[in-house]
Amino acid sequence: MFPNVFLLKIKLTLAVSVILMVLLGVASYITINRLTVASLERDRMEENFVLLERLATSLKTTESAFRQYILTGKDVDEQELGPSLDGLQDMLSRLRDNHLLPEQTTLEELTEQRITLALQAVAAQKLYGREAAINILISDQNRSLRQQTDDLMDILRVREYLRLGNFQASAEGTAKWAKRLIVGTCLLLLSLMAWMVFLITHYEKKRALVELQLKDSEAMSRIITEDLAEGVITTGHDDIVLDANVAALKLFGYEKSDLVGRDVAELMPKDLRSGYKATTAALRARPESFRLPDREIRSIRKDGGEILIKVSFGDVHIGGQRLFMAFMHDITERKRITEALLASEKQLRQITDTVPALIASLDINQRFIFHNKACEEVFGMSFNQIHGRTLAEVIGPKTYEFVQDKAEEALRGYVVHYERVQSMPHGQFRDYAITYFPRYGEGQDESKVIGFYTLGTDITELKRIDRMKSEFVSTVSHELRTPLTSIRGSLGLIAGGVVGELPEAVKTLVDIAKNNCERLIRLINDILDSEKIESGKMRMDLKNVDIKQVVRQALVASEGYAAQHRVRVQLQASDEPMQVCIDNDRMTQVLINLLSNAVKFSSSGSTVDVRVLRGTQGIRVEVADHGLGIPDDFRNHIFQKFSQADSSDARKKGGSGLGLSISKTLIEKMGGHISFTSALNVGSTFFFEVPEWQGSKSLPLPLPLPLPLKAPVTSLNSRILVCEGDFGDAKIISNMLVAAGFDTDIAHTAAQAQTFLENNSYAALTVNSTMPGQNALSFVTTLRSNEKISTIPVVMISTTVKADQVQFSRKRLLVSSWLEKPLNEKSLVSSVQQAISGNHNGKPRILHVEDDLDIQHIVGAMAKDFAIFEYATTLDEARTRLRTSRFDLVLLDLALEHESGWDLIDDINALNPRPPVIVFSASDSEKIEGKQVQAILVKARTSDIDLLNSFQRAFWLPQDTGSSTPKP
Amino acid sequence: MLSPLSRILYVEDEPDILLVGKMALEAVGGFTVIACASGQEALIAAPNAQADLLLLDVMMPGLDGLGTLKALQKIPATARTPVIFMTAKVQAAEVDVYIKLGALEVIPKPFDPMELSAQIRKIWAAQG
Repeated sequence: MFPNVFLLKIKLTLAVSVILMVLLGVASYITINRLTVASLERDRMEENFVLLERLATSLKTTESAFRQYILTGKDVDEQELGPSLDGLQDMLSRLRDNHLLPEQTTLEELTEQRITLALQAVAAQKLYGREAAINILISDQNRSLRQQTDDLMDILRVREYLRLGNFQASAEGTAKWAKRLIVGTCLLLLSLMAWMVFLITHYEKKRALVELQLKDSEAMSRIITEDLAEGVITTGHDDIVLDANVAALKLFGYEKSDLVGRDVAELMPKDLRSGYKATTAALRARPESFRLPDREIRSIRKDGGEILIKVSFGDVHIGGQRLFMAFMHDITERKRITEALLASEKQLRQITDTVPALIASLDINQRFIFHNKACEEVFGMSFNQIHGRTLAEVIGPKTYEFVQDKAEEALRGYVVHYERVQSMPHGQFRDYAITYFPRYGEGQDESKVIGFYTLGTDITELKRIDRMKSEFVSTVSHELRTPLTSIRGSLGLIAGGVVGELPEAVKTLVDIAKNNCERLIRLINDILDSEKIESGKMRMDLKNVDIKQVVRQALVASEGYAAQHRVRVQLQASDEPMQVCIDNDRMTQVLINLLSNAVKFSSSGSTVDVRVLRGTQGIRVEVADHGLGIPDDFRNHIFQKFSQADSSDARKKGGSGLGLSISKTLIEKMGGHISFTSALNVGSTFFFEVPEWQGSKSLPLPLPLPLPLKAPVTSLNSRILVCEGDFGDAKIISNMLVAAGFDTDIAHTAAQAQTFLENNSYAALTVNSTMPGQNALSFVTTLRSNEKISTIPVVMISTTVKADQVQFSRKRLLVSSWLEKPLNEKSLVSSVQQAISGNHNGKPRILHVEDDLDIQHIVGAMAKDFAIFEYATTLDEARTRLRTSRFDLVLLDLALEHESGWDLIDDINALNPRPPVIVFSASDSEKIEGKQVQAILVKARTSDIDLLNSFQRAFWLPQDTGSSTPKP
Repeated sequence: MLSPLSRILYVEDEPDILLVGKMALEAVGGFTVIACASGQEALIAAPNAQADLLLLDVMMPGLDGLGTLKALQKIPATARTPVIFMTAKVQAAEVDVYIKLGALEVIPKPFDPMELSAQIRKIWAAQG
């Protein structure tokens, strides 16, 4: 664009200059021409002038000569006259040639006549003498002739003179005009030239700039293409390589000089070349620009190695030239990695598919992004029915309702473990233990949960085995104890002398039998304890006592045993109270174990020292013997199960090898720790420390203990946990309850409350709806999900009861009653009492369909505190009752006389609201077939407490949970 | 309830234990024991037993200890009689059920015959 404008300007300027120069030339020519003519004319006039003068002179001379002759008579040489006359003639002819004189003829005639007159005078002389001649000369004719000639000559001279002047003026005007023209033209030309100079200079500058830019951009594009990680190859027509950048050269292993000039098709395997050529030829034939998207092409390196590249190909126009550029990168490695990844994923999938557990990965939106085959089998769904779907879609809305908060907790970064009943495609139900592990992102998202993994294991069999084990233990405990009861009883009575005095020998033998019977009982008890610990069923009934009292009891209990071994047991303890929070029976068990061990390994006549003192971490109890000490190699596993220094020792000393292992667990469950020091041949000291009870001023140290549901007979007062953030209010509530005869503990935060609940058993809780640490709804929901305290009554205290109740609206049964602040003592105490007695909002009504009256009675008795029972022994009776009354739960026996309880399910389903159903039957062999029941309990296998728990749970759960319910 | 304890209705299906227990209570404790070998027998004996205390086994064929208690509680003579269970089934959850049914206490089997009477007296006294 730019040079074109410039060229046009230059061309225009030149054209104008040429026109001006032509004009100048023409003007000059005309001027010169005019000046030349003027000059000639002047010459001619000057000549005429001269000729006229000379003519006049010649005439005078000639006439003078003639006169002289006439006057003097002297001969006039004819030869002298001749030239003069000739001269005259000549002048006249020249004047004639100049023929500018219109009076030429007149002048010639006059001249002729004068010459003729002179000649006549001469002739008259000769002939007539001088007189005649003079007459002629002075004649008038002559005079007039002369006068005429002179006048004419004057006229001619003047005219010529005037003409000359005119010419001169005309020539001068022309010259003046020409001068102006020339000067003007020259000025114009000069300015044009200046303009051109300016244009050229300007253009040069611009060109330099553009060139510089061009250079820069070339450098830039070179840098870009050269340093580009992508290979760039530029080809012209016929696929000849014009340029290639470093990356491209590296990619193909060529030197630049080596590659440039080659046909680019040489970079391809032979089988692709013709196809490539055809393609590029077709592309080149298209006039429009193109750019082909990335495609994968096999290529050949210079060394012959094949690589896989990804190429995008298109054309560019550079300097009016159409070039073809290919951008490429090596994807061999990427492809290999992709394939390796695919293989690895396949392998992972194969591995996970062989695992019978449910394995899945879900994203932040709870969508399945990975799952194994087990998921498909268990959910009865195809891959696509699970992949990309949400958890709610896959497990169904009912199960999801139960699972939702757990998934959300996992997404908050917690590992969540829970169990749920999973309905299988063929209608049966399986127990699954599910764990959600939060999944964290990488890099920037390292601290962000981006989803969670789920691991689900089928624990149906485990649960069955666990039930079997419990049943076995229960059976053993009963079946072994029954004969032992008789034996021990008989031997005890005999040894006690009830049936009369025995001879010494018999007494010795009976004592042996009795002692070994006791030992057998201890062994069985140890085994049962050990089993309880392992199955997590060991429960602690923690109470606040002075430990010295417990130690003394244990000493008394061990007295007989010590006496047998002739060992003296000494107690050293200060008088100050040492309160600890312990399970009295279990602490006694530990102490007796330690004492009997100490006695057992003491030599006869020695002493065992028992010391009670304040240790570093609470109250410390030491039991020291002066025996042989513990062998070094045994010290490391002394607290392990079935540990004996040597097996013969066990028999000799009569222990189960479980005592210390049980003691250790018990002490730890009471929040303490146990250890020992020992020196060979000096003795051993076993000691434990348990936290000292600080009163309600501070919290007990966290004790990892399950709760006892066993209500202590000796304690008349129920214990209430007051959960209240405000210290003053907490004290007031506590005082009101204490005044009404309750014992209380105070928790100021949700976490404190949890600690208390883990460590103690409570008859009820009062909860402030705005307790710090946790939202009240979630706090209570958490309680309910904890099987051990799921039935604990909760009295809610709030300043905004109505608003808070809305939160609980869907789960209203979570709370026994609501109290508004400020509290009134009477309503607080009665609410708590009612909550404890289960007398809230009227008791739920249970229809028990059962034809065995005994079972009716037993169940009814068990649940009488919190429910009202009505009974039906036949299905018809049940239907009638269901029609006429509303029930909160149906407890259903399947094996009725001549009837199946299942037939009632459809009737129950038709009810609105539909009461939950718990099947309580003798056998679980019946097909469930997706029937909506809350729980299935098997008579012989279900403990009474399980049954009660199931009731409680059924009342607390929303009634439409259907089959996705907690298992028995 | 502070009336002296003298008559005990003792229900135990195992004859050996029933005999030993009866002996222990009578010979050691000096109680009068009405011994019944089953729940049904107890129901028959109860109206005329004038028992101060019911001592019940739990695991019994037919009417078990819990059932027996329920049934006895329907008989006016024993409707308000205190009860102690004596059983080998003393897992915590089981004990909870007995206590809920109104038992004063649970004595685990095997019991010490020489201590049994003292134990029962102590429980009797504790009920206040």
